[in-house]
Amino acid sequence: MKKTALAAAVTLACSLVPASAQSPASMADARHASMSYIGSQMRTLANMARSQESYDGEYARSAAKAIAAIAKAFPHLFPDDGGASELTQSEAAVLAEREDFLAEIAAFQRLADTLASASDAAGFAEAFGPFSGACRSCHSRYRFH
Amino acid sequence: MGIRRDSRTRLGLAIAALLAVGAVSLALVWLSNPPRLTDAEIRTGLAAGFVPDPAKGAALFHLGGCADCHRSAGTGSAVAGGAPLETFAGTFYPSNISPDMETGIGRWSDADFVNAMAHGVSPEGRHYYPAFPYTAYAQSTREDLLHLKSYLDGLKPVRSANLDHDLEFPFNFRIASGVWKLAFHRASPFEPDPERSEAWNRGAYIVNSLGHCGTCHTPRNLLFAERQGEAFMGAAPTKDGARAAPRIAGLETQKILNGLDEWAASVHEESAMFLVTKTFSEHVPYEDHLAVAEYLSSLARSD
Repeated sequence: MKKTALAAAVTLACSLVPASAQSPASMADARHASMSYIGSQMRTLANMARSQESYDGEYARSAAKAIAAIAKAFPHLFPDDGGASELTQSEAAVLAEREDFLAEIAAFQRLADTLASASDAAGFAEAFGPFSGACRSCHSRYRFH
Repeated sequence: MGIRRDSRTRLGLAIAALLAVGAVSLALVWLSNPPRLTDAEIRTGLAAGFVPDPAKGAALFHLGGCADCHRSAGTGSAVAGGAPLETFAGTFYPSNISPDMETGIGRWSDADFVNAMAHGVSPEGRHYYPAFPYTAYAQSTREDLLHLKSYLDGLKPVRSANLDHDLEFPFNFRIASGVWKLAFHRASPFEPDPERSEAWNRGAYIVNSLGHCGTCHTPRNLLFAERQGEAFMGAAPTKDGARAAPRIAGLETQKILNGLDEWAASVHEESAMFLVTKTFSEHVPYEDHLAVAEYLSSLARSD
């Protein structure tokens, strides 16, 4: 449950401070931390979904809830106006297609919630593919290396 | 009368024999020196003002999984070739497609590239073995092939001489590839279906051309050609001990998407699909995943 609490704290902090009031550097740091956390859980969750590791319901639900909480902060982690600062390539792409980006985020939030509410191994496995697809969908449009 | 009939018969036989010799000679000439398109012929039919775009070529390179076969055994290059490809016919060593002038494709003209990809003929006029899936690549648009070439041209040249394939009898006779092509290779580009959605057509194009999904997933006849009418219905392994390629036609959309997703797929690391899934996950836009899934899931299951 520690993870969920951490994620909730991130969410709260992000939602209380308007995106425009946060420094670009702190937003980038928060994005990086959020994505890193999700990334750190993906291999374990994927392996549980495809039965390469035995399914641990408590672990899976806890990690999925943390991810679902972080997902709710996503819209606040990207600038919602051009501002004066220099934008990264991702920020510029997100800004240029704000509506599409928010639709991607909404789908990701919904699928993360579905994953978190799975109550058994079969439900978790079924929810995992679409959830992972939402990660890929957004990354293939808005992630730049 | 008897004598005249005899001489007529002899004349007829002689003409028939001459025709047969002519036909065999023509076939042999074609088989040993197949016709090749020239650069001028390649240019006709291209969209006006067409300029090859290496960025588009890069996307096509990943879509086709070129590096899956053409990766290097020793140099660390993704395209210098030499990593063994084991099949029922023996071991193929895919070639160096880096732009090295001596050992790669650095000297190839646009026509050389199109002749190889769409017609299975080398710049020297030799038939390629159909282990190089030109039967699928032939469905690519001419423009896409030239985008792809422009991307390859910009890669780092790697000096790495091609290895001879190590094939079993009778596959070691290259002319057999020519006979096989006469029977089974049709070099006609993909035709979109105007009744279907743009995504469906995009998926059909990817799957049937550069994606060359049928190379593994379509069963083959006794002469190793993909069976018409059983496309993507799953096929036996290409060598003993390897895994069979499952049916991918008519599956649920999500199942197909899972198969292309490194996190969601259950693909064995030694399976050829492992590299396909990895490349799709890392390099292919998700829209193309959706397109492939829309097309494949729409196909009827023939079971």
